[in-house]
Amino acid sequence: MAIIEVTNLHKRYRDHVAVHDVSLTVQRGEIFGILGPNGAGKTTTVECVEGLRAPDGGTVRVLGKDPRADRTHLRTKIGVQLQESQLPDRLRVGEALQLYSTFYPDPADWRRLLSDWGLEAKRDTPFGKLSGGQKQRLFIALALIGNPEIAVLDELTTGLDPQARRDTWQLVEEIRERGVTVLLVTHFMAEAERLCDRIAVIDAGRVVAVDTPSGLVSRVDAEQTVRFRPSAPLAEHLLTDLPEVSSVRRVGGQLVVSGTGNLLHAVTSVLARHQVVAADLRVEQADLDDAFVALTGRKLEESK
Amino acid sequence: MIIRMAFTEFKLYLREPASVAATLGLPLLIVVSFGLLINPGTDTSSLVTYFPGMAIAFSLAILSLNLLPTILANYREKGILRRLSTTPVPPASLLLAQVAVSFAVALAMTLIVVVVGHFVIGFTVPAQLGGFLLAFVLGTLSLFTVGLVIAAIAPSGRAATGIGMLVFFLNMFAGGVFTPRETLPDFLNRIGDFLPLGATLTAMRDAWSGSFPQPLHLLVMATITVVFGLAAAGLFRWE
Repeated sequence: MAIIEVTNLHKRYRDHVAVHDVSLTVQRGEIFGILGPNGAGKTTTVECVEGLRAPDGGTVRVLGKDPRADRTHLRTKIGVQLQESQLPDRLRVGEALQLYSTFYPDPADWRRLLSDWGLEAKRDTPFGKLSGGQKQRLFIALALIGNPEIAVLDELTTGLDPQARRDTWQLVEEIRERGVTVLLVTHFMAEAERLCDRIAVIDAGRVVAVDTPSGLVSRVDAEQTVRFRPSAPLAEHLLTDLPEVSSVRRVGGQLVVSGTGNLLHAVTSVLARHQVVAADLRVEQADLDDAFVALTGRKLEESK
Repeated sequence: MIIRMAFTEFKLYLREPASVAATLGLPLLIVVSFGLLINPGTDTSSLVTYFPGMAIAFSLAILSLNLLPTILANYREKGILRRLSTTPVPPASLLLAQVAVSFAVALAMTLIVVVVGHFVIGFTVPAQLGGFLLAFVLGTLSLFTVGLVIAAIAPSGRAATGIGMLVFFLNMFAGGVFTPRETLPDFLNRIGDFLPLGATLTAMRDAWSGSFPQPLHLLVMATITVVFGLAAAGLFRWE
């Protein structure tokens, strides 16, 4: 069942169009990623889902309802972590959770959330004294305080160090295990690849593709490369004769074999038949980065 | 929910030592130190109402023109108001909670100044009590609405502090707070009559000495409250 349906969403601010045409469908229980460079329209899209902004065109349905018209109802169903949102510096962790729990008709037990998200020791620590990772854990807890069906997480791990980022990924998976559907906005390829069941790639206000991470990668018609150091001289034509192989190069003592299909198997079979052992064998395949380049024509990191 | 919010805001206020010192400590210090200097028990001049009135006006001005706009503009800048608008609670309730807490602090401060001034130093209590209460309520509301407009138009917390400072000093100077209006030139007093702090202080001093506040000052305070209240409601940006 579709829990979020965005159809032909269009949104402009004064003189520039933030979202041209975005359509996507999020199924209940999945982690759905919105991936794209800064300024692609990711945040505007989820703000329309949250009911914070009114679309200029298209429709948005959350749990079958209009986020603007039914905002009173939907606000009890959506938990939000906003990009660059903070709390008063002197507000303590426990107080924040307790306060926010009074906003909801059927809140989660805030003490329980405190321990679930490893914040028990920080209960009396003011917000201003928390580390980046602790702040994000508090924001996740606050997003879940109303017992929502959907959690929207916008750039959750931006500004975190790699360790804190990996810890936070673990937490996002735990959210899903609670049966909460997660809409995750990110511009980190690795984050989307690791967490998301499906990803919508957005570029310049349009959806370029919606697929699973591996589905996106398989769309790339990129060649694989097998590199190895042969233990004995090997005639190149033995490799180039293979239908899977498109080219063979020598780099120093290494052979670099490019091709498609089941390249590795074809190459190693030939080597075995001629009693050649492949040392330092490495296989390079397309990943989500390559998929992004193929879909948008540029690298994600460069487009920032 | 709104009570929990106000309670939380009050705790946050108490955790800012500078705010507590400026709004509660300072007026107390003023009334006690000047009271000891002038010995109000034997002084019959109209200036006797100046010191406690000035202590209250000073604190009200800090509360409404410095603290209130800075806190609210910071809440907007930090995305706290925006975060609230994703919850079932409208962000306006945070404004309401903040104003309620400020009003409670203003009331407590005024009570402390009157009680300590009377029993410890020997100042008289406001002779025209009804007029004094009216002056306090209208004066505080008018000052708060001015603070809300500053919070509404300031692009950042820092800007709110700056604009607030400017309005603060203008009011303190022309409103007869830094120096009593008896010593100010007529044209400054004329300006002060139309400033929220000037109208508030003059109305409170009138009531303190036994006469009902002048209609002009009541009208000025009421008009400011309505006009600036509506302006704040219309201009306030939540993000």
